[in-house]
Amino acid sequence: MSRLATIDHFIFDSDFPADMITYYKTDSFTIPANGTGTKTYNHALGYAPLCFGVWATAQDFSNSRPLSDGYFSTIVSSTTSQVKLEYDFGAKGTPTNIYLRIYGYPPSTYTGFCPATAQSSKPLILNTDDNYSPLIFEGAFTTKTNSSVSTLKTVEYNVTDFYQKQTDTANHLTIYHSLPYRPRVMLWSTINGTTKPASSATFDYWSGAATTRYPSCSFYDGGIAIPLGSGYSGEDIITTHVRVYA
Amino acid sequence: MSNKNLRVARLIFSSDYMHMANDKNASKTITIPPVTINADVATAYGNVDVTLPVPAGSISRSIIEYKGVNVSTSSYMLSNGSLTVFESFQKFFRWEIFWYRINATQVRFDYYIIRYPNTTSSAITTPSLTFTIHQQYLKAPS
Repeated sequence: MSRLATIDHFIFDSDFPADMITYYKTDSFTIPANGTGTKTYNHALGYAPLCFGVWATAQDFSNSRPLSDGYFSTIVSSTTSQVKLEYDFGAKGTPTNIYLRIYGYPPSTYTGFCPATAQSSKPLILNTDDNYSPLIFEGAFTTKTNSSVSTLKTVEYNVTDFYQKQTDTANHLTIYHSLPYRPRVMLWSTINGTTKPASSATFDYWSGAATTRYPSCSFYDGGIAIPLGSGYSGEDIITTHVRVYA
Repeated sequence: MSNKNLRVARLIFSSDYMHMANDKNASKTITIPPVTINADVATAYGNVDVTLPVPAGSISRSIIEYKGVNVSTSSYMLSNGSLTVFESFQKFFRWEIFWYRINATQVRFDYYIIRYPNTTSSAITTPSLTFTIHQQYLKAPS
């Protein structure tokens, strides 16, 4: 515990960790006439990164949309060897070219070393002129361990000033906190070795499939409730990845 | 690398690593009035534009709150721009909200009111809901 009485008035304190970007990919390419395609990028990280990002039709990203946006089908996913973008602009108006930025975090399930990444773009390098969101909770919860049994791994976290405790019941994770506001959350699901942002659930819904394989998140004062995905028969391992930011 | 704590090394501040800094925090309230969806229409649509000095290519982490008549305030994650509201009071509709930047200074929120496929074939009217979207924009390379 810090010896400063008002440490939360300051930034850059190791009590307040911040995510680091361990995967960063930029690309631009021409969309085929049918509006559909796949791009794959090999990596050697040793884990499936938790990916997110944006795409744009303008080179300077003055217009842009998030990846795994529910309106245009642009699903970013990862495995231990590849990051993949599957897009289907279909009947919604095919752009001619798109510009792409993909970012990735290491999952909580990976306990190996992550090498330095500072050789990349300058705005992503730590700068004391900027504010950074403290990461107050990170974890990975395996909710299903084989095709017929749904289990929930119990994970214990130390109590700190920010998060009071977390509890889990069957297929449900609750994180209690003492923040006077509702914090930001990012979620991903790993299903059979492929990791996707939780917002990919929208595509499953539009395709007529259930969305229970993806986590969602609801908030109330002092807590966050995350129903954890239970998946389908035949989907062997489902893990939900959680990041909560003050 | 000199850091001996392998686990902390994935998260701690260091100029050796890339991080995403905050750029803007913003909130916007959108009230969607009652909308009648005719029998032959599946989706009603609208949008609202918000002017913000949002940096190009920025990433958003968002929370959305909604409230309506006889509906207590609920908050959900607006993850990567989309939201599907599933609530017990909704028997006939769902709402979806997306955000994206349309130019150097403006962000647009699209909202869709979608009739469930198995509802009756007659025209139906949605309740009114007020959505408040809290966006935290992260800096991206420019």
